[in-house]
Amino acid sequence: MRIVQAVLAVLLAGFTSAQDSPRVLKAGTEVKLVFAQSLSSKHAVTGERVELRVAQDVPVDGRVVVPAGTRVLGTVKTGKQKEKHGNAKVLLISFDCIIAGGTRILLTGERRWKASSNVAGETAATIGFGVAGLLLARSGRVVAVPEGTAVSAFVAEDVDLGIE
Amino acid sequence: MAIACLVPVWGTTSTNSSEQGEPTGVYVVAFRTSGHVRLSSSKVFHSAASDVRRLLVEKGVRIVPDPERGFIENESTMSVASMTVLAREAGADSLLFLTVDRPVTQWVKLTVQSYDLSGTLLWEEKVGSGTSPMTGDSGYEKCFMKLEKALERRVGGPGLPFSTTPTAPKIER
Repeated sequence: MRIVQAVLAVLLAGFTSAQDSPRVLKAGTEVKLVFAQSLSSKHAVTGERVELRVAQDVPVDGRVVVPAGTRVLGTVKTGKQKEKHGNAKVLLISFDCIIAGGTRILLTGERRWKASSNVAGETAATIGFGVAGLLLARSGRVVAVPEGTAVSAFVAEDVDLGIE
Repeated sequence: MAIACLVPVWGTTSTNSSEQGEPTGVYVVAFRTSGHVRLSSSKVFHSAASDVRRLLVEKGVRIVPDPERGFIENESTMSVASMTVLAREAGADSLLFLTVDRPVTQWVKLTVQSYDLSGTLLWEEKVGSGTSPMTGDSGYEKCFMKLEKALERRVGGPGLPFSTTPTAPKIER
C-alpha cells in the first residue's frame, strides 16, 4: 500500500510539474511589424499616435501567443513641432506596445527616417533661381512612410503567459 | 505580469455588439487634407470632427470610441481596410470616415463616407461652404447646416442605425 502511494505521489508530482510549466514571452523577442497607416514628415506631429500591426505570428514553445494582425501602437517622437512648421527633416517613430485582448505587451525599438536630398532637382532649382531656388527645393524634402512598411520591435520585459 | 491567455484580436468579432443582440454602433475616423493643413487650422478640423459626432449622438446614433485612442483624428492617411479592422475590434458595425478639406474656392468642404466592416462603401455625402459667406466661421456654419440635412436623411439607414439604448448626454460646444 505504501509503495502504491509512493508511486502515485511520484506520478502525480511529475504530471503536475509538467502541467505547471510556465510559458514566458521573453524580453528581447523580436516582433515584426507593419505600419497600418501612412506617415509623412509633412503631417506627422511630435506626440501623435501611430497604428501598426504585428506582421508575423509570435510563438512561444511552438504555440502562437501573439497572432499576426494584432494591433500595435507607436508614437511620433520626432516630427513636426507645430501645425504649420513645414516639413520635418527627420521622422522618428517609437514602437510602444502590443494591444492583445485588453492586455498590453510593452515593446522597445524605434525607427528613424531622414529626408533624402534630390540632387538633380536642387541643382536645377539653383541654376534656375539661385539661392532662393535651392532653399525652396530643400524645403520640399519629405519623408514618406507608406502603409505596409515593415519594421521590427522587441518585447521589453518578460511576459508570463500563465500555466498551461 | 501574468497573462492567462492572449486572445487573438485580428479579424475577430467577439466584441461586435450586433452579434450579441445589443445596440449597433458607428466607429468614426476624421481625416484632414493637406489643403486644410495649409490653409486652415487644426481647431477647425477638430471642431468639425467633434460637431459631427455630436450631431450623430443627438440624432440617436451610437458612437463607438476607440478603446485606446478615443476618437481618431488624423492628418495621416489610413486605408479603409485598416480603419474597418479598428472598427471591428472596437465592436462597431460600421465605419464613418469624415474628410475635412479646404479647397481654394471654398472655406471648408466636408465629405462623409460610410463603410460596412468588409470595406464596402455604403454611401457618401459631400457638402461645401462655397465662397459666398464673408468669413470662414460663417462658411463653416453654412457647410455644417448642409451636412446636418444630408445626415438626417441617412440616420436610421445603413451605416447609421439608431441606438436602442439611451443616447449619450449632449456635448456642449
